[in-house]
Amino acid sequence: MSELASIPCSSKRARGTSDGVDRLSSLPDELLHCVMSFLPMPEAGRTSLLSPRWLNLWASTPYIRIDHQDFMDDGKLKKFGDRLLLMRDRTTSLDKAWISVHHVADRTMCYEWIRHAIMHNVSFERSLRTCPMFSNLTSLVLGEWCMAADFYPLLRILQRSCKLKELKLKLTKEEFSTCKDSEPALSSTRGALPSGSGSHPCIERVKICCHEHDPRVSSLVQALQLIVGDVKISIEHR
Amino acid sequence: MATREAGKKMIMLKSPDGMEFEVEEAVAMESQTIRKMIEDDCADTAILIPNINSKILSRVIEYCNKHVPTTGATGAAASDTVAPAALAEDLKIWDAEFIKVNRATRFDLIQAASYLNIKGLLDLTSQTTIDTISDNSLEEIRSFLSTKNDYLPEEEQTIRRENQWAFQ
Repeated sequence: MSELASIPCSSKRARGTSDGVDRLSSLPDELLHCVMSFLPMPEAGRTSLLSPRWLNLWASTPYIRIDHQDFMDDGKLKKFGDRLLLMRDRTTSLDKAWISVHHVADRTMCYEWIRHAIMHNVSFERSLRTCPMFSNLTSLVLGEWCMAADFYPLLRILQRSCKLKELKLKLTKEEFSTCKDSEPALSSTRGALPSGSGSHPCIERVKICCHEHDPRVSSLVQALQLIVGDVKISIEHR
Repeated sequence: MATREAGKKMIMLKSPDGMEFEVEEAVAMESQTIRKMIEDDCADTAILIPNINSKILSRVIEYCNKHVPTTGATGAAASDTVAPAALAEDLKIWDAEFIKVNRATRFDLIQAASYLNIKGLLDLTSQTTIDTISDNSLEEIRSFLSTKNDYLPEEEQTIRRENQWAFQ
């Protein structure tokens, strides 16, 4: 007969099973993180008050979730997002980042969060580095977020899409109050993209849809050329 | 111990308290832990499940029985097929009834779902736990969970102050 590997059962070892015993708190961290993942992130932060067992649990969740619906106004949303990333235990891995904002104006701070998450978390980078091959992907359409984190996620996905023929990027942002040029390039602080598949032999068409005076297009084109080489990049104004 | 009924391969799951449960292989494979064992050819036709007593194991099997894809295929593709809306709704109602258990049982189910790697069951038990404590005051949650408040009053004040951003 086969036997599944045994795992230590912390609840029984630590506290017994009778009523009036805090079974939830005696679950291992990863299970509590799983349970906490069903709480809005601000409430997850508040669990630190329950008892010392919970004090830093919220800071080591393998996910972050910043959702505008959890906040009364943008100021609170921003404060929360900034603090969350500042206080997070950066030695723990970050598997999932869920960031949802409502207004166009919020997007800039949203990029900062994505950038922050990538810069301060090795595992997040590592998971991008080892992200799966999208080996059946032939056509890809991406929205605004392709501009995030100095195109690192975009370029990384392109590198892993060996059969991609058609790429379309739709930029919708209308306000350009903050220009990308004023921000330091992330690639210089983190180093170059992982090598190995520097150019993309299969890609045939790249199209960028944007507003006529979007100043970010030139840097996007530059970044894309790293990957697609001499393939013509057509720009369509809306 | 292997038996074949109507062409379906059966697996025997044994709990540490000596109970035996004969289930279809497809049902057992709702557990990714067991699936991996079977796929890696590491499983006999009987598998001992340590840590999970017969009472909990029978509930877990009940859950897997209900959630096994009805196509009857054992491949991974079968579990990926999207159930029609009516079927999904039926499952939701069934889940809601299934999880009406006391706290101790629910925590046992959380651990079992984690150990056997059954994502649907882990999500269900976690969500239910959160639902039962949300919207309660700190003291109510502490009392509900039987959490001992080990903080001194001044410690609690400090945590409140430091985590002010989360309390707004």
